[in-house]
Amino acid sequence: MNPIFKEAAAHVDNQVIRDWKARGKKVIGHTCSHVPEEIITAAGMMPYRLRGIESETTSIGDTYFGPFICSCPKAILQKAGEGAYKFLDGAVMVQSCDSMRRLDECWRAANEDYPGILPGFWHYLGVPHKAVDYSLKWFSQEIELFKTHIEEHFGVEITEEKLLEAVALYNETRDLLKELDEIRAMEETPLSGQEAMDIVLAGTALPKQVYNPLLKETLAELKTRKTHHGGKKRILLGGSVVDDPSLISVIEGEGAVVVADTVCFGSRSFEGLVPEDSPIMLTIAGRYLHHQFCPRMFGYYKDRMGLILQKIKQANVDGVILQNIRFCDLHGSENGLFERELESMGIPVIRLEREYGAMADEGRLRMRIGAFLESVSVGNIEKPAA
Amino acid sequence: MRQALLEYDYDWAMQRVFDQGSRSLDGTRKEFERARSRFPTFGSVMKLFYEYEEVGRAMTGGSAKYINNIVNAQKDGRKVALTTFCMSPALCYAMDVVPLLIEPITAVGNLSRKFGMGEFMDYCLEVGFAETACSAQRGAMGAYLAGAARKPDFVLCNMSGVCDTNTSAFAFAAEALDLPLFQCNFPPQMRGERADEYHRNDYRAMIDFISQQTGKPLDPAKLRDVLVEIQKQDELIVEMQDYQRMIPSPIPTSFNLFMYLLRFLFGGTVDGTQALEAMLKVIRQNVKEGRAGVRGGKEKARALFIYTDHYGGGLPLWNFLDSRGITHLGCIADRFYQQAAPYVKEGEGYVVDSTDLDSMIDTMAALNSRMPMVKQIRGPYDAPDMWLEEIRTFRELYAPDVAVYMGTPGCRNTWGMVKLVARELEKEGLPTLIINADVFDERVESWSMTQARFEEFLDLRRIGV
Repeated sequence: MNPIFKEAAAHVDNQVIRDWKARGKKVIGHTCSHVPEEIITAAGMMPYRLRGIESETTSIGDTYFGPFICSCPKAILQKAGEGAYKFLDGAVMVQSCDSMRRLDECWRAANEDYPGILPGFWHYLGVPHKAVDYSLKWFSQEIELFKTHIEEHFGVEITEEKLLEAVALYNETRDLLKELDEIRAMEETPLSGQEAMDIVLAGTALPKQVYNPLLKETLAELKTRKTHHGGKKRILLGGSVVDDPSLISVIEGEGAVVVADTVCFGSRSFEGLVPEDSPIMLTIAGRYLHHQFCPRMFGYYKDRMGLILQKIKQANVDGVILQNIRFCDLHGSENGLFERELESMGIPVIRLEREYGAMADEGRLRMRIGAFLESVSVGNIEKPAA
Repeated sequence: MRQALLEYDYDWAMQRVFDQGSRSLDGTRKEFERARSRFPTFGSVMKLFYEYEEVGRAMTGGSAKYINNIVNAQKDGRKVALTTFCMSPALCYAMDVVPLLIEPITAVGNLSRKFGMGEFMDYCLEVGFAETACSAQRGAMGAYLAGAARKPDFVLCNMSGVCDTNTSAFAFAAEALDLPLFQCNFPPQMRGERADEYHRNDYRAMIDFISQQTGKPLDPAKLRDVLVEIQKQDELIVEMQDYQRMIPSPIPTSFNLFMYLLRFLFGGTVDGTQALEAMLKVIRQNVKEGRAGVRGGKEKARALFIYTDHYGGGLPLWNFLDSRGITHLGCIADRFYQQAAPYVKEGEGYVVDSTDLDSMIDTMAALNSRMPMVKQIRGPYDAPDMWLEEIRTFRELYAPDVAVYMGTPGCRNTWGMVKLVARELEKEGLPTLIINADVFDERVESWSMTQARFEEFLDLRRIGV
């Protein structure tokens, strides 16, 4: 695999970002797949999905967040406090979930104690939790306000032409990643789940102008690859944020291959295209608001269950691993519903609760995953109708 | 779950407790005291309720009627909406729907059951709900999921955009019980043209949803009746909250709890108005006599609860405050943002406008979007109209000596910002205590431990000593 993908997936910073910055270009971080990156790209900047990877402690995060909070935003704050995000020129905060929404205040408070860690551009994007006509109107206005804020702060102009270009660029990325999903799902899948996740994660930390050509090359290489992971137990990984490959490496270390996923950062992030027509703000808002694959969008459980079933069928999955980071109530409660429904269909499934980051509880997870995989038979489940 | 818990329906059992409780003063005081001594948990609650007889009768009578309505809804041909304390029940009353507020029903179980609601909370986990979710919903929800109470007809959630744990509880219940769900969703801002429009559209969509479930349209005459009671209650609450500014405060320690309990359970009904009138009578008398509301008659300190109160078995918080001569200055649950309330800035509150159907619905939408928690914790804690601003206003008006945060570990939203709130308040000179207990589940931290921490803080900071 291209070493640029490997570097971008495994580290907060990467060479492409350093080159981008060296050319005087801007980087805007954000925390949620509901942030319309097209706006940032149309402004000539690079959108960057924030992660807390490479954190060895959450001492800074724990200073500002309370104890009963997901370790993901704490780890992001940790990186920010340590100065790892000094390359950001701006950041967008979203009320993605209750833990992540408070990163806004905690980061701002931490800036009082660690001066200079707060990017100059700071924006709070209000994303509704339901997709109806009035919430769509609200959200398209939010995106318009976001656009205006960028234009005024950075002195740039985001034209409709540039927006359409960005939309086309992102749709291309989504199409290519869907192709990756199809390759992953093949009977003799030529890549491991870890490799697939590296490729997807790299896309969150590289400008799409750089990412897309590299992705095309990678897809071409994968199609001719001789090695494969056939014969292994085929797993779908579902649930909350997976933004480093360590969890998948544990699953695959136990003899399985992750052939599909519905995790945040993973495949669900590139579901759905933006229609390339006008009025552009409304179509962008529509794509991001109708993107109901995160349980923050309440009341769309059946759609999400449908996506899981579709992927089980498409990738000929043998078992499902549902995981959530502790204190993620959204995935935590919905995983319970999925588990019950999948089990009633005779699909092997396990629910795991874990901490965010580089496998703080690897031994426990390895043991549970190993035991689960022992109980999974290859090719034994009747594939459900999606 | 133990089979014994399923022997008697939970809702029926609660109905019996409150029905009997509401009639326990019908005999002599001696008979009441004798009966009270037989109830190890509910006995101390009865004492708290009946310290002021007329108020106690109104509160327990209203509560009994409320639970009675839930239990008998099917027989009466009415639909039951599973909903939250964060939603004003007034719309349900106007649409002839019985509101089943899950959190107060959890609290009611805690107050009256020897072992609280722990086993029902745990049952939620058995059927797949997240163990880290808020215990306020998990308690009574467990009874409904276990079939130990009559299944409601539909679900109305009022915290989407405000509280994930609350909303996911209702989304989970809707799926698990196969019930239609409507969620009111709130943008991060409370005010402004866009937010107002969003609230109004969303509220109208909820009315349409309820109409679909009941097969009946909203009756403007009934809505008007409800708003008339809301207006009366608002005036009484505003008067009460104005008196609370006095030093010493003439408000008895338990009245704050009663006020929001009645507003949650029977807001917009005549029962609610009568209970408030009974409370005001006591308060006005205290004012006339220059008496403090605390049980000992001498106010030693004033405590502002910046989030919830504690709903452990026997309601120990209020007895504790009384024993230390500490005035309860209210918690987040008793702020409804009537424009006339002393803490409300110009344009921040709602005003009852019953000119026509549209203005009445707009009033309800404004009221509903200002319900406790819905208003203060939806956006950044330090943004306009939000938590910090509210606490600062309260500090200025009500002169607390201490601020206290207590809630549940399930409250992701406030735990994400409470350290920052405490830091700001301490910087401004207001001692602020963060309590790690679960106010609905004493298995997390017993009340005696919570009390010990509370006392330690008060002693250390020389508050009310």
